[in-house]
Amino acid sequence: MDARRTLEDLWDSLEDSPLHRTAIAILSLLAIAVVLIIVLANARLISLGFMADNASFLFVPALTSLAATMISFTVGILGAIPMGLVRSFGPRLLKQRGLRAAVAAPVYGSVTSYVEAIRGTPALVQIFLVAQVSGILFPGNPDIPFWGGVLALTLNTLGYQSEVFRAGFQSVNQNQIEAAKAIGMRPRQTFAYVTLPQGIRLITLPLVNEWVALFKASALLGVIAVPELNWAASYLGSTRSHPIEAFIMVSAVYLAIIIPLSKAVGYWERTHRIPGLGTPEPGRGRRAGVRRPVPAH
Amino acid sequence: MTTARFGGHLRISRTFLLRVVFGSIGAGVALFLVYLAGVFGVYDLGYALYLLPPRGRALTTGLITTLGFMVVVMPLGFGLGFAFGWARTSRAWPARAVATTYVEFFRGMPPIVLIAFAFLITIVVFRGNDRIDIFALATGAGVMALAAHSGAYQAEIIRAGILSVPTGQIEAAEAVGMSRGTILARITLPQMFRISLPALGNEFASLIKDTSLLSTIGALDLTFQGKNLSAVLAVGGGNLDLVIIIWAEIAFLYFVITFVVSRALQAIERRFRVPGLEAAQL
Amino acid sequence: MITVRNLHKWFGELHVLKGVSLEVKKGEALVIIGPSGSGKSTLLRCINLLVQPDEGDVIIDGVKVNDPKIRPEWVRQQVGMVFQSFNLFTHLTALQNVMIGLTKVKRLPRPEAERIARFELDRVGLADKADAYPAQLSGGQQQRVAIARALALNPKAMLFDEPTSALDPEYIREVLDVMTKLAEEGMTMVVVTHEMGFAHNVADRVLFMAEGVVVEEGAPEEIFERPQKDRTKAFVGKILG
Repeated sequence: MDARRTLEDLWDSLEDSPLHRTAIAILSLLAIAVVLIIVLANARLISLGFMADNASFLFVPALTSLAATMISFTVGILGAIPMGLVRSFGPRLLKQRGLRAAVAAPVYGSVTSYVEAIRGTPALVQIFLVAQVSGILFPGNPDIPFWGGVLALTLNTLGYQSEVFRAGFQSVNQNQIEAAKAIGMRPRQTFAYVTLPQGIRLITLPLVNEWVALFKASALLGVIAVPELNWAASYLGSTRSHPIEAFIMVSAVYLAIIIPLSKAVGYWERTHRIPGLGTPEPGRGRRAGVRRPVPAH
Repeated sequence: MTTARFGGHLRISRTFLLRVVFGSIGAGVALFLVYLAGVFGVYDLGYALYLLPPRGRALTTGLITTLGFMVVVMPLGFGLGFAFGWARTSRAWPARAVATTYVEFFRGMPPIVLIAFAFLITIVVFRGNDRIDIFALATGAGVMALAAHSGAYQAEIIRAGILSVPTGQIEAAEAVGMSRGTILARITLPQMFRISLPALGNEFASLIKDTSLLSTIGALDLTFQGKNLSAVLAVGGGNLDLVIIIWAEIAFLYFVITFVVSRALQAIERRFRVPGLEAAQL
Repeated sequence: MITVRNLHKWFGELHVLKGVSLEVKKGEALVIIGPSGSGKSTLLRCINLLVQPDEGDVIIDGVKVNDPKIRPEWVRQQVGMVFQSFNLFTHLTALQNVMIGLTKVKRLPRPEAERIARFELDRVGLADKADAYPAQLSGGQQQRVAIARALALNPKAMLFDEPTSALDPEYIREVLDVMTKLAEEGMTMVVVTHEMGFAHNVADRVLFMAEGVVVEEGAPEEIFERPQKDRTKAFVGKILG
C-alpha cells in the first residue's frame, strides 16, 4: 500500500519540477525498455547475442545519417534566414508604393511559392525527384546518391526553417516594437536592437525540433541507395532473419539521440523562457499556425 | 490602413484587393508560361497531359490508392490519438505511464523505420504460413504503424486540448449536479475539439504526406507509381524532362489533396468557432 | 506647447476620433479621463505619431508634426511616452533600457549616455536596480524604469497612457509619486488615467472624453464637483460613488 503511494507520488512529481520531470521521464522509459528486453530475451523470443554481434554494423550507417542531417541543417540555416526575413517583412513592403513594392513582389512571391511547395508535398517525393535528376545529370557518379539526398534534404529543410525564422521575427511582442518607436528608433534600428535579439531566443526550440525532424527524414535516404541507418538495420533484419532484434537496435539509436535532445531543449525552454515571449510551436515542428508550444520530436 | 470605399457602403481594404488581384494574375501568368513552354517543346506537353488522371492509368491508380490509405489511416490515427491522449490525462498512474510510453516511443521514431519494420517483422513471423495473404497482412501492419505514429502526435494535441478546458468550468458543472458523463459530453469534449482543431488539421496534412512512405513497402500509391514510371527513365541517362514531369505532377497531386483537406478542416473550424475559445497560450 | 486641432481617425469602419481639439500650455499637466473605448489612447498616440491621424493637425512647439515632410522619429524624441504595459525591452537591463535611446537614437558616446542614464534612474529612485532585468523587477519598478527611459531623451513633453492601470495596488503609489514630482518640476504632460486622486490633486486641467469627442474640460474642481454636461455628471458620479 505504501509502495504504491510512493510510486504515485513519484509519478505526480513529474508534473512539477522541470528537471525532475525530464530526468525521471528518460530514466523510466529506459527502465521499461530494459525490462522488456530482458523478459523477451529470457523467453527466447529475441537473441541478445545477435544484437551484440551486429551492433558495430550499424555504426557507420548511423554516422552517415548524422552527417547528412548536419550538412543539410547548417546549409539550410544559411538560406533560411534571408528567406525568413523576406517572408516576415514582405507583406509590409508590399503595402508601400513604388519601387520597393515592385521589387518586393516577385521576390516575396517566389519565396512564398517555394515554401508552400516544399511544405505541401511529401519529402519522399522531393527526394526521388532531386536524386533522380542528379543521377541523370551526373551519370555513373558514385557519390550522387548521398549528395543528391543531402541536396534534397537541404531544399526540404529550407522550406521549413524559413517558416521558423519568419515566426521568430514576427513573434517579437508588438509592445516592444511600439516602445522602440516611441523613443525615436528608426525601423532598421528597431529590428537590430529589439526584434533580432529577442527573435533569436524565440527560434531556438523550433529550430531544434526541425533538426530532429530532419534527422528522421534522413531515414528516407535509404530508398535512393544511401547506406544510412534505417537501410542498414532493414538489411540486417531481413538477410539475417532477426528483424525484431534489428528493430530494437535501430530504435535504441534513434531514441537515444532524439529523446534526450527533445527533452533537454524542452527543459531549457521551460526554465529560460522570457515571460511574454511565447513560441508558437506546431505539433511536429513542421507547420505554422498552431498556437500551443508542444515540445516535439 | 487605407480603405477603398464603394459608394460609402462596401469597404474592402486595399491590401486585400491588391493581394487577390496580384495573386490571380501571378497564378494565371505562371500557368500560361508552363503551357507555353510545353507548346514550344521545352518539355513533352503531350506526355504530361497523357499522364494526368483520369486518363493516365498509373497516376489514377496511385491517386485512388493514396486516397484510400488516407481514408483508413486518418480515423485509425485519430482513434489511437484520442484514446491515448485521454489516458495521458487520467488520474490513474498506470494509464498515464502506458500512454506516455506509447507517445514517447512513436513520436521519437522516424515513421519510415516503424513502417519498414512492421512490414518486415510481419513477413518473417508469418513466413511459411500458406493460409493467409502475408503481403496484405504486412501492408496492414505498415498502415497500423503509420497510424500509431500519427496517433502519438494527435495524443499530445488532444491532451493539450483537454488540459485547456478550464477546470473551473468542470467544478461549476459538478456543483450544478451534472453527472460525469454529461460533463464529459457537454462541457469538456465540445471545447476540447474546438481548441484542438487547428493543430489536428495540421497533423492530418502531415499524415497525408506520410502515406507516401507506404510506397516503400510495395503499396501501389502515388509515390510508388512515380518510382515505377521514372525508374526506367532515370537509369537511361536521358529523359530529364520526363522524370521532372512525372514527379512534378505527383507533387502537384499531393499538394492539391493536402490543400483541399486543409481548407475543408478550416471551414469546419470556422463553422464551429466560438468567440474567445482559442488554443491555449502559455 | 501642444495643440491638437480637429483630429479625426478611423480604424476601418470605426470612427475613433471625431474632431478632437485640445491645447496644453508649457509646464501644464493635462489629465484626460473617460470610459474605455472613448479614444483616449488613440489621441495620445496621434500626438507622438505612433498612429497617423486621418484629418486634423498636431502642432508641437509651433511645428506641425503630422506633416509628411517631418520624420516621426524626430517627433518622438521631442515627446516621451510611458505605456500601460511598461514595454521595457526584456532582453536588456534597466540601465541598458534607459541608455539605448541615448546611444542609438541621440548617438551620444557611451560614457555620457551612461552618466545620464544613471542620473535618470536615480531621479525615479532606482539607482540600485541598474543591473536588474525587467523580469526581476516589480511592476512599479518596471514602470519607473520606463519613465526614466522616456525622460533620458530630455523630451519637451511627456505622454502617459494609463501608467498605473496594470499595476498591483501597492505599486501604484510609487509611480504616481514620480509623476507628481515631474509635474511639480514643470514638465509638460498629458496623462490618461483612472486615478481620480491624481487627477484632482496634480492636474492643472482635466479633460473628459467619451465616444471620440471631448465632452467637457476645465479645472479639476469644475469637472469633479460642478460638472456641466450630463455625460460628465454620469461618469463622475459612477467613479466617485
